[in-house]
Amino acid sequence: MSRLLQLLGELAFTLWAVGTLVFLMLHLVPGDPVAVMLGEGANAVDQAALRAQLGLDQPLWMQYVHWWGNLLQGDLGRSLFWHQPVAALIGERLVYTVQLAVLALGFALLLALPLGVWAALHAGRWPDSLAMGVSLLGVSIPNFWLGPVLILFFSLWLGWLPVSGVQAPLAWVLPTLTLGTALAAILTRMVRASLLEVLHEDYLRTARAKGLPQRVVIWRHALGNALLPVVTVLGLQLGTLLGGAVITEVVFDWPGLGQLLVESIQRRDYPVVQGVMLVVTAAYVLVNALTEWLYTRLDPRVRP
Amino acid sequence: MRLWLGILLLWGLMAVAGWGVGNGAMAVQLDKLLALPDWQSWLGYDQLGRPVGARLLLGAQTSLVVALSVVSLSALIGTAIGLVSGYVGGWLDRFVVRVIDVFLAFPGLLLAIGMAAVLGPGVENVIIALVVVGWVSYARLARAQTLSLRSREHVLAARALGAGHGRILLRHVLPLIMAPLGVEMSFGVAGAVISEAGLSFLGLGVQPPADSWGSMIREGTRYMLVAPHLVLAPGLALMLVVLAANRLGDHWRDRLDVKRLDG
Repeated sequence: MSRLLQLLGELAFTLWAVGTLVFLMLHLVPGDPVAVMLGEGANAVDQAALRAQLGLDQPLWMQYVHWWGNLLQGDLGRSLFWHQPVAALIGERLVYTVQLAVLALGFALLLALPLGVWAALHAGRWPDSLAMGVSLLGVSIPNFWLGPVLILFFSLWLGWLPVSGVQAPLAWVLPTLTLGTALAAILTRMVRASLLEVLHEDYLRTARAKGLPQRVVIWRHALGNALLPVVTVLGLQLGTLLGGAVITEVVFDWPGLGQLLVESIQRRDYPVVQGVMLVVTAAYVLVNALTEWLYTRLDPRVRP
Repeated sequence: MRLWLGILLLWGLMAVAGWGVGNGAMAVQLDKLLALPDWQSWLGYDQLGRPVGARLLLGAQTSLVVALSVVSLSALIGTAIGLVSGYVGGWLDRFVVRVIDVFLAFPGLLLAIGMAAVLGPGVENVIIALVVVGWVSYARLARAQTLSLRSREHVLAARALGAGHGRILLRHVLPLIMAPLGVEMSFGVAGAVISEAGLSFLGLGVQPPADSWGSMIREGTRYMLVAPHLVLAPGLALMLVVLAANRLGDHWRDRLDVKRLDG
């Protein structure tokens, strides 16, 4: 129980720090953020109105108190471009990003588990080198290049899949491949490494000795333990996945949070930029806290 | 290994050659819009009739300058913070660990995107944004290594002989953590090259007329059906450099760690 409280305390601290940094972001804009947002030609009246709307005419500590007051009520401010609450905009787009992330995660797991097991069982021989070579390639291909190349092959030359958007029936295939490849590559290495570590444990020798078939020994007994560290890495890799989603969404015109973020940066719609950064980071922090908690529940060795 | 070192060397040579290109990369030839390779430009021409090969050299320059600046600055700042934090310990160390955790709380590229968004585009701002994200891994590594070295015999002996803290850190601790830091820097080069190109691809990095492999890919995607070489050339260059830097880091790490099973 005290462990849970400690985790919750750390979680609260991290969320507070993240919220504060995102608040300070607007004040890092060189020069006057209001002038930057409205452009050069804006007149003084408009500037004063926006300054008042954003609360920038108040002292910093007042703005800070307001920021947290609003945040705790789920109010992320209003978009300067859409004239809508930021929270509503994010709610609309969030679904698409979650969908893409889950698909990419599923694809990565489907590819990485068999490949990693295959490599570990043939450690040091050609299947291992092949799997590790493919994995290195996967980590090194930038997704903003993989995406266009996949479009070139499958959409433009072969005409099998749509170029972009979400409407067409198979539109999710290429974004999923693009986003999932790097994760699959990292997971393959992790699965292989942690499976190699448990393969020589006594309990596996016992399982073999009592006549269990190799399939059951590997997939039930060995992987059960080998996947624990993989789960932690998976939580951490979610951050890379969310960062990659920004690029993937831009490549495929996928209407998720990443695209909203990049569009809003180009429009200098800072309240939306802050809102997206905050929501995505908070989601990432929460998932990681959850993974850590699950980990302590699952592995009796780290249970206090 | 020679192959990968060769690629990195070629990258450096391309960047140096970039200074010799001069205005050649900006020369607009209207009769060669999106033209395929010919004997004057082996990689063809872009949407303004500029030679892709020459622009590739300028892109190499950008990515090399950014990668070297980002990695050296991040390593310098991160190592200094990590060394002092691990060595001094106490509340300072706890504070540094908290700060590191907060920076790690932001997912991957998102913090760099956010920083680039507030700072505005440009090479210097890309470097600043990537250093803000990048110092953390060096600080974490240096701190962990320093913690484990702090009470080793040779450090205690140096202290007993009356060596100052600065001398102990620089002469007795730092040399022992240089190798793992080098491995981290090798991966850091790969990360910085990808991040710079990623930011430029999103339009948040290097701005025209300056060239970056990322912005070249971004522009090229619009003409992919008629001129795929605009996307393929910078992408291949990018991938080879990243692959080489990653491979170098892997190799170096395996050499350092005799106990490791995985490659």
